[in-house]
Amino acid sequence: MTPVPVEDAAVAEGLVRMRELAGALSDVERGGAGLRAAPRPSDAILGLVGPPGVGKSSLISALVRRARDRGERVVVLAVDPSSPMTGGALLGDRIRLAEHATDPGVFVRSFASRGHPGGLSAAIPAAVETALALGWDRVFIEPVGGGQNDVDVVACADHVVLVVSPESGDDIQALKAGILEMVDVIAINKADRPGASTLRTMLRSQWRGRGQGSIVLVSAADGTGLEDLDDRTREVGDGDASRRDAALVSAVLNDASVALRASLADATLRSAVIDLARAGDRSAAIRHLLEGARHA
Amino acid sequence: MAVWTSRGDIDTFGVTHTESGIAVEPLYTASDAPAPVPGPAAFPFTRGFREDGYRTRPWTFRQYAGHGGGSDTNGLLKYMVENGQSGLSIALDLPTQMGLDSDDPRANYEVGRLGVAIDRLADMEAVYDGIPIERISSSFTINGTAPVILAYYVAMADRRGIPRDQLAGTVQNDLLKEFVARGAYLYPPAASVRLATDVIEFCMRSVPKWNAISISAAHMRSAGATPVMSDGFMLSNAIAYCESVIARGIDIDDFAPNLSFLTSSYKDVFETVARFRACRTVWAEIARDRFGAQKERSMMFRVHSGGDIDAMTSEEPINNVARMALNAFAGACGGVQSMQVPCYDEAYEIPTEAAILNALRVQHIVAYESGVRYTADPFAGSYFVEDLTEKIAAQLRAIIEEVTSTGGSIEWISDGRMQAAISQEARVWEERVADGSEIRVGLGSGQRGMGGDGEITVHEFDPGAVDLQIKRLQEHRATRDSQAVTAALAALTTAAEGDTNVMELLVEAAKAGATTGEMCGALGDVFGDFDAPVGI
Amino acid sequence: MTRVLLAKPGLDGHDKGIKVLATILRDAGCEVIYTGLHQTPQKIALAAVQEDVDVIGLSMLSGAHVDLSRDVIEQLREAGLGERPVIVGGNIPLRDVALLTGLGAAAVFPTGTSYEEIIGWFAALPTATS
Repeated sequence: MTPVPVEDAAVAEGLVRMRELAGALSDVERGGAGLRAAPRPSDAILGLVGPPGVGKSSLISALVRRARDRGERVVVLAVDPSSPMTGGALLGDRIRLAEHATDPGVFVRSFASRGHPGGLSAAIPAAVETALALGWDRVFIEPVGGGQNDVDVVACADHVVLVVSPESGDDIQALKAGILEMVDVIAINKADRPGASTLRTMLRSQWRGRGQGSIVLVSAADGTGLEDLDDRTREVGDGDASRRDAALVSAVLNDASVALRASLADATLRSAVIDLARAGDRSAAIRHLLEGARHA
Repeated sequence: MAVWTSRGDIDTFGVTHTESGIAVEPLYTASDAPAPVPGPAAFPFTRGFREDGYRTRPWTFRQYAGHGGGSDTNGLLKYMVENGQSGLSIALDLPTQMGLDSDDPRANYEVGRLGVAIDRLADMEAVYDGIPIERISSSFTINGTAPVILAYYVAMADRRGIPRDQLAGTVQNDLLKEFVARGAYLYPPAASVRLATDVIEFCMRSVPKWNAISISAAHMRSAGATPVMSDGFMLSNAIAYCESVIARGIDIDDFAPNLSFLTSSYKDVFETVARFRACRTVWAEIARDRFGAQKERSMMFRVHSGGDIDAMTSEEPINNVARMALNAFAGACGGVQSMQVPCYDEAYEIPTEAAILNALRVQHIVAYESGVRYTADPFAGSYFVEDLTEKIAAQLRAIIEEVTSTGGSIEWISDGRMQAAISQEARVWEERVADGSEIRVGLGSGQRGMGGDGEITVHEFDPGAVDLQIKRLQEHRATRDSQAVTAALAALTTAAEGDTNVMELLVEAAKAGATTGEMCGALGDVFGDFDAPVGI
Repeated sequence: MTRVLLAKPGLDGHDKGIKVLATILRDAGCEVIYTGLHQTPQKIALAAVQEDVDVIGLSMLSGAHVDLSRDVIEQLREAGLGERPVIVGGNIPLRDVALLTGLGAAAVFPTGTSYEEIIGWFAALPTATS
């Protein structure tokens, strides 16, 4: 028996592209600026958010299949949390995308959040642009998960889908004030299960963002509703700038908190802030922190 | 989850807590004794099923064996029977377990390695050439491919003219635990349970003495669960299977006699005895009280002990024989129906013929020299063992309650909760190994790895057997009646798409010359494939 | 930051060791990408390319470790990652350890190796401190 060679010519050719993108993404993750696509389509970047266990990855896998049927080259950027204690991370999203494992037109990269709040890692915005600049056609972003705080993806994706399932009623209550106001489409996955249409009715009454048409019943397992969902995520943006602006502000605030946290590495600043806070004057502590960070 | 995790006072582990982490007192007295347990041979069967224990017949001596092609394994099986083995246990190679033909590229390097390759009916017939299947029972460690392997066996009996109701044996057919622990599943959970249920229904109607399923704890233990936790999940899974069969309108008393169980003896002798007693008790309660069984036979937790293979060390491997003897003694005191003990060379390779014979002899020594067969359930009435039995039974009931009240086994497995619980326990165990509180005598004593400078000989894989297997398979494909095969596979597909039980169609396809890969592939085209959650 | 790909090549589904190792490496500060069961050498090489990992770890308990490791190392070389260290764990008899290092494995950790030893190997990597 001889070793199985990389016999598929398409794979061999795809390898060159993959290595180019892999290296560029590593540069970005090390803090590099990345590349920027000149003009790019306004519907190339899709974010999928939602509580754990609703089948986001399975849905991405199904949407990737549709994109591949159209001949598009696809990148999936999946983010999992880093441990705040050790910095380590377990990145397991590839497993759910196993059906595309040998497809040279599908590139999956796992990112650890590395302490960045907002559901993404700091590298994701530049990573997305870099992928498009290198000629990949469509980018899927799967933030950390949990939904409520995954607002950064709204600032960086053209469309954002909130994925829920008939079992996620309690989680949706928690989402009401956050991400729910910022998404374009709600996909109710596992639509064959009891409770799906009840959930749709409930969401229609709660969600006044974009009208009733954008709640889609889907099943990643049997393909129900995927075409509809795919179409809706390819509609040209409607110019709802306020939503994106709100997310951008939120993302900037997240970045700011990271920067402020970093400035606390300065021991003098840190102890001064702690002293002020301990003395009960929080606003003085904040002023001192901002001042200190400005000079850092 | 705290109820059955094994965290204890690590410094004194092994003295103050059992293997599953149950606290033990230095002295038990009459005041610790629970109310006397009824039986044997009376509900809840804590003390077993027979008034005379093993007096008239010992448990079935069933060592696991098989490698290479059909004829290699045939020779091994005959050798074992000549040496006093009373039941056969066939090891199948990984490609067969994964429903792949021997010439499938995905089977590369694994054909005939960990067991025998069964690509088609003729391979099964080669394994059993000259072996009277109407008189000796066979157990197959097969899950995803269980319907196909059982179909070959039944087709072989049909061709020999042996009535199906004379066939005795077991297919493991426990798909739920494959998603949790061993990974040899082929289809998504719902389809897998449907096929497992097809096998149960087929056996009930057509092969009544066959154990259609061996609901297993042992693999979950190997994956890291404590022995008691693995038993609790096993019984939870049993409930899921029963619900699936009952949903077809079948009465518990009609199919429960075709259910069997697999959980092993481990190093802790007293806990092992108490676990088997507690499992019998709790299963009898489930069958009678949850499912309304009327017949005593339906309430009997009939169990094969698989043996503590993970306890075998590669250093000082002869020490393993002592572990094997304790393993067998504990199983016999626990009242198992059938037993395998691990082999002394099993830490790195499948066993040699000499090692399998030794394991069989260990069983013989325990059965014929130790006095373990004097009397039924010899530990009954021990203050300690009765107390431990009661505590384990309580833990099993707690696990079952937690699983069934929060979605049941299928949900726990589909969303990875069962996997995660076991992985956490695996990590706890590794930490105990790392800090030295998990004592393995002889480890760290010298050379790591058997077959290096070599205290003992280990099994050598024979690549020649693979080439022969592939050559014969390809000749078969070229010469068979391909129209008959195509028709049989089409009928199989139609049955799988609807609600028809697939088993008779698999028997027909086997007789027509369809291969394992073709039959599993036809089912896969209908059911799709699946990747189980990792659940770290 | 060390990025590690952990994979199980072949058909063997015993993943206790690799899952425990994944959590131990995470706790030691690594970013661990676990591929799941039943990986082919080609899939492992493609995942290593996409994830741009520093180390590829393989676990095998089926006895086919020599052939499968050889194929993975060969595929990584063809994918341009020939210099990335490959480590091999699982049921590896002593007689095969030298065989595996001869094929290009950077380290072999048979069943029974302490996790301390494995973490020590990772701590010595140049990426461990960057």
